[in-house]
Amino acid sequence: MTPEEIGVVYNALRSQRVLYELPVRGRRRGEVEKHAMEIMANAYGRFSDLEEFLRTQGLTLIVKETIELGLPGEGMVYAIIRDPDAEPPGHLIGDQFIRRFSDARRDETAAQTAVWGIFLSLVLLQLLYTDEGRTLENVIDSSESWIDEANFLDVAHNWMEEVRKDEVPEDERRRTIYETLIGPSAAQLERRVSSFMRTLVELGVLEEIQPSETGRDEAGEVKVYRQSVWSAIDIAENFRRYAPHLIGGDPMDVMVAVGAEERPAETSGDTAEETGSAAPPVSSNYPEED
Amino acid sequence: MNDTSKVLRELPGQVLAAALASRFADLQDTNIAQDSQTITSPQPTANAGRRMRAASALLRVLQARLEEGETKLTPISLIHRERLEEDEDITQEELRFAARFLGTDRPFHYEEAADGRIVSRSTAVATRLVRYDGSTADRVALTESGRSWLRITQQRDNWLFEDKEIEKLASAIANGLFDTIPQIARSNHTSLRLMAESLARALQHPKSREQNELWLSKREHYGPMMQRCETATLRALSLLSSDGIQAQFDAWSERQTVDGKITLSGLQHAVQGVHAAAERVRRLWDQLIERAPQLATSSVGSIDFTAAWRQYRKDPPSEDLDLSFLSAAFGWGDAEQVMSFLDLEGSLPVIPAHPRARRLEFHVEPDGGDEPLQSWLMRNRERVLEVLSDGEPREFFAFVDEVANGSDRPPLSGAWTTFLIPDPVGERARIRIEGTNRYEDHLSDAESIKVTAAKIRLLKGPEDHDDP
Repeated sequence: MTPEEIGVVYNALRSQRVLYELPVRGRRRGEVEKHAMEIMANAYGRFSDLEEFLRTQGLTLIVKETIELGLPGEGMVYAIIRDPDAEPPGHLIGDQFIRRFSDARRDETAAQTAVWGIFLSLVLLQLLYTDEGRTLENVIDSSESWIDEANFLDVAHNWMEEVRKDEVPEDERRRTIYETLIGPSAAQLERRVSSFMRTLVELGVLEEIQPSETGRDEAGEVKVYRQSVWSAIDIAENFRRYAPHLIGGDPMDVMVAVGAEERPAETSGDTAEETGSAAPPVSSNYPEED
Repeated sequence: MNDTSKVLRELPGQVLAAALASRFADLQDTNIAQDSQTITSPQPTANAGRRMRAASALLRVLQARLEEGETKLTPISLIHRERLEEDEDITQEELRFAARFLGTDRPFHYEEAADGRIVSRSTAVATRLVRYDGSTADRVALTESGRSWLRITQQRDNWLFEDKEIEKLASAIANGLFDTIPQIARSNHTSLRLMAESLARALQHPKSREQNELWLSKREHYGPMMQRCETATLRALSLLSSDGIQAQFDAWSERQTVDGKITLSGLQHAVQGVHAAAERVRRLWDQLIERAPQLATSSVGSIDFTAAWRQYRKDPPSEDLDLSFLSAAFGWGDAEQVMSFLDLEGSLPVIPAHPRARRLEFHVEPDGGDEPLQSWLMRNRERVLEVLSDGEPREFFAFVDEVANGSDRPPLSGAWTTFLIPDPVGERARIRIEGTNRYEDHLSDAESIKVTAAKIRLLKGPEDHDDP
């Protein structure tokens, strides 16, 4: 690839993070993306120059097929993610999340913003991964992991209630966490969650699902989001490297074993019959698929 | 989330096929209003499972006899004797009831579009799986529908022989059965796509460990089979481009009066799609084999982030670590800080709200401009910024318009660039100038890219950064 071609592809990747070789249903490709994809198609298998350049930017090129990302259609998908082991140049080190998310009206400290950020991030991860039974490496199901703001609020509210039951910690750091989270009213929590979601949409971590796609009426319904393909790839490739402290300690303490819950024969409905109880009516909210 | 494919794999064939079809039967017979909030299933009888076992036993004996070449009526008493070993508690009466039941018509309704209108139809013959002779004797035989049923119930895990399915392509081509090719290609394409998805899932999802084990236990078969799939598609492609087949296709095509939509290039496209899908499967398979040892030992499970949160509260990491996570996990830089190879910075007051300020597109179609756009921008930087600082985007476009159509026509070459123009109070305006290179062959040298069209677009605000 020539330096100019690298420049074209880099520009497109930097602004969009994920580029699609072929059209994918529900997504329009701009001219910039199409041009970059023509270059990539011509250079297929010879990306070493581009990869070398990306390394200087602390970035890694990920090449996948749409099928690996659980997307319809066919073709290659190119994404760039941060390489946590590399020192990124200045323009890639950003406090963009903190700047956008901090509550300026309340003179919030960076420490308090960080507590909110971690707290809501873990709620998000709970909904996107734990509740969906997804491993961190699972990208293929990311587009199906929809979360709505009301459900998010419920989980956040429950977690805050748990904090309120804690004794006031003596340790300063723990006290910051405690005091940051016991104070807010329900309305404040709601605003905070809204701001968190909005920030993540702006930063390309979440995508807001349009009412036409959810089938709900536009007015008066809560917002629904899904994880972006970029975020799913980034977490799959990087989470264990940039956030080991969040799942640190004994991994078994935070790991949901799979084998224990995987009982296909029973879950197909035979159990109820064996015990002689009548099969419950299937409600319109279909239970999780067997 | 449980492993559906495992459930499907382990269910007895008769049960699987009946379960798959049961919802359609229910759909016709269950009396539920369309707007009902609750979808209920019909209540099974108390001995529903046992009835299924008796019916399966009956069909299994008839199937065994069919495999021996016997298709005639078989006495119920004989069937009962043959099933004694495995179903000793099933009585002759139960077998007889199953035979009478399966031998009775049950109209199945459906609708079809024909000649531009919807026609209501029903079939009864397809629902009668056996022929029961209770008038002269107590005997039962499979009907043609019954034999179809048995064939369907034997369709399990057919990927094992996917290569044979793909070989149908070459066979259809060689025998001039061109009208069957699109369907064979579609069916194989879908199968291969599902196979690829299954492999991709196995690679990403430790929950698929059992599926992985299944794949790997037959690796000596699957590997060569996937290779044969690729070879079969190559053979089909090669046949399609041979002179003999092309002549045969032309002759066939001339004879076709009904379906003129099938073209040779269309067939080639379809087979190429199957070939690409087969290649994909083989690539993913290679990855699975390569990573098999790692997958076998990797930890299985998803993270319980509620527990992680509790652990965080109990023993929180440092604030620096938190901040570093929040920076890393949510990407880099502001969305509007798109770095290009040419950034021009300057001061600009807040651009007043203007109906055109949100997104303005400006198309210029120069007749073959060949100077580097970026050079033009550099040369005109001061003027561009000056116009922008007037605060009226409209004027900027008027300016560009004037220049584009005037003597100092912007060359509109080069890639594209983004101006990031922050003002003292932190508001930003971005101008993105995109050049579209439609004639890649005309790349003259390393310094310039010829473009034939350009969009000049003013974007205001960070939320407006995506391409339309």
